[in-house]
Amino acid sequence: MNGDLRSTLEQNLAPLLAWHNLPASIFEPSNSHQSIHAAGWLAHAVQCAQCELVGTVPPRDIHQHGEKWLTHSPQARDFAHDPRTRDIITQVLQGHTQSPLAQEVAQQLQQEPYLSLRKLQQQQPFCSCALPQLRAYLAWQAQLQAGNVHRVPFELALLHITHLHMQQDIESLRDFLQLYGPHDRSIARRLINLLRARGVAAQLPERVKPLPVLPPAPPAPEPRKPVEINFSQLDDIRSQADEMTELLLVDELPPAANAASPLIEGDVSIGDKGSALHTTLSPAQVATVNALLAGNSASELDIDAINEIAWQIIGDNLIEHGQIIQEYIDAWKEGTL
Amino acid sequence: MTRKAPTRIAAAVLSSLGGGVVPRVGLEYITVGRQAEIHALLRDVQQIAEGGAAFRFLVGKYGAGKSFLLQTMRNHVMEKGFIVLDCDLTPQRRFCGSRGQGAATYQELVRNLSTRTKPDGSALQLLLDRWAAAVQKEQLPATLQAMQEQVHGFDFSVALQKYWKAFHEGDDDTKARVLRWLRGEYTTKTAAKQAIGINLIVNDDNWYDFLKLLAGFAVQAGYAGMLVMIDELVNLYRIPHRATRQYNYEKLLSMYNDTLQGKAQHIGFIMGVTPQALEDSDKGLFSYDALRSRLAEGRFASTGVRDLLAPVIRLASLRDEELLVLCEKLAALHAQLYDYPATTTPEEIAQFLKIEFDRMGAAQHITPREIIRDFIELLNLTYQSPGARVGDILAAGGFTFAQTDQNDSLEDEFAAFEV
Repeated sequence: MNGDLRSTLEQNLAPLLAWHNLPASIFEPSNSHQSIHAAGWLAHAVQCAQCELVGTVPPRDIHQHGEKWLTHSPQARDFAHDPRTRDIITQVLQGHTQSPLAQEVAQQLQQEPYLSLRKLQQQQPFCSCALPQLRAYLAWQAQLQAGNVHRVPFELALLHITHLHMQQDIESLRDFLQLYGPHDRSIARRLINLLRARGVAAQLPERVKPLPVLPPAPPAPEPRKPVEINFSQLDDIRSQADEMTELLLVDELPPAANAASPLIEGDVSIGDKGSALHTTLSPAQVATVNALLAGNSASELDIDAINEIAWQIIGDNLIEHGQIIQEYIDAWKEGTL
Repeated sequence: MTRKAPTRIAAAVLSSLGGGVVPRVGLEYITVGRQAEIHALLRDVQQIAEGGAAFRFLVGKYGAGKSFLLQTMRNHVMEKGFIVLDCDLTPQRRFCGSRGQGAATYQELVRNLSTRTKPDGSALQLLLDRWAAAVQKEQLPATLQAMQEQVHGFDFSVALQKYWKAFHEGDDDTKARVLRWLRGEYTTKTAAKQAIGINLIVNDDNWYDFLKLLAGFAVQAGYAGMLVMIDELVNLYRIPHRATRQYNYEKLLSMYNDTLQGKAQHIGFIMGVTPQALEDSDKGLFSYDALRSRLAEGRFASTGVRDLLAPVIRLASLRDEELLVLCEKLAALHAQLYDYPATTTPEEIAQFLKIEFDRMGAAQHITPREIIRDFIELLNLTYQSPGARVGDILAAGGFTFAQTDQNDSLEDEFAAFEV
């Protein structure tokens, strides 16, 4: 960050810093942890905001990389999460043209065009997400200036028009579309659709407009409304959720009328018929249960039947009977049966 | 009345969600919202059980709840007597590729074949044993006859016949070899021929036909049908070579057509995909015109009106009220698990949600996954601070936000970038 930008930022952020009990000049060397954390976060936030202004960086970077600075500093966290902070940074950067990130990267690339990403990262603590896009963009800009506009990837073309749009450079935008359109009509159409979605259709050149247009691009997602809970809806949502639970839970035993009632079926002498836990076992399952209760071991195939039975009868209310079978299953799995 | 989850389920649910992963069990107890989506998928399940077929794409951002819904459906249909095959696509597992990536997907699917009694996979042998034990010798020809009419059905029925014989003769060696063939583990026809006398193997071209055969076989073995769940379709979008990507989309299209044209029975597919991987007209599924024209929303679909009978189901964001009820359910589970009276009020949860959504970048990037992780952390902190309430900890700023999971992948992706 150059000195001018830094001082402008400090000046504009001073009231907010004071509000959050942070030193007014947080970029100065300080022993204060809060100051260091706030400065670290701010440096990152500024880089990311710069990238956003040239249309390159997903805003999640502010969230992801910047948050790590805030771990141990409540003041810095409050400062970072204050929505006014972000607004001020953006306003300062919009009015401050001396130090856009793209120019800094371009300078680096001019000096050493084949810098590796890691080397560049070491030299300049840029947001890593921005670098590949920026470098590809800048490399392609050189091609554009040389008139080689064909074979331009859509992402880069999009980057370019975003940049021009941000700069309100409609003339260059128009030139670009006229130059680019004949080379790749489909991409040009998509770009125009995107621009229309952003509300700049009226400024587009007449010659590009008549191109056949695909269905309109989906509208940009609306910004999320602040959380507002309508407490009167909660009961409905709760009952719907309970209904879904009942719908999705299948084959569970109904609650036992009498938890002490043991399971019965046919010849298996482990309960009384007529209880709420009455369940139907197939003859094979009955035989398996009998065999198990008689202390016989299960064959490999029996394990399926055992599992089926276990699923049917193991429940919170029947754990003592389920336990017998579960123990067999566990023993079988461990090879100790 | 709210159904109380068994304690072991509560423990599994909270530990999985706290770790940021979808639990394998107990999802029914915390399902909130998604009624329309679940009903749509349950209709498909019904259709499959009646001999039909279904093909759906679940579209949602990372952490929006695709895996949650897939897992919920998986548990449900297994309880309904279906067999379920599931896998995630990876660079090594696609629909087709020059290095057997399609067959690798099949192998993974079959390895994860699950039933109600074997919910953790590896249930193919169980399926075969169950079938072999139930089918009498005189029933065998008629049973196999139906399969022979399908593509590769003759070889498949020969393999089953061999398994049936080996099962009844106690020939474990032959059983193992047939099992290996069905799992698609023979890499050459010669090896398969030598092992079981069948001059055919599962490969990138025919693995879908084998899935259809397996579905038919599962029904014969007494199951209601077969559901195939394939997640992380974004891996097709990430294929760097256009031609390879297009071949994969072509394979997907052929599966889609085959399923929905009535050529497949008792089988359903649910694919998890991100919006970008679907809609990007340069690299996504929509870059393949035939898929785009089939999957794109119709002209009459608009915000607020969703066609849930269409092949693409878009997971809408949970409403604030739904998130609140979800947190309530988690709080109840937590209280039950650790045996304390649940005292978290809706107002406190609302305060928590406000704090979550006030985070920078939250509007675009926060997902239910991060909210749930944060809330469970909050509950843990409350539990460990006797006398403290959720509101006290929120006011004191005593917890840190969950980190999104996109960071690592972004770093990896860009690390190798060179101009």
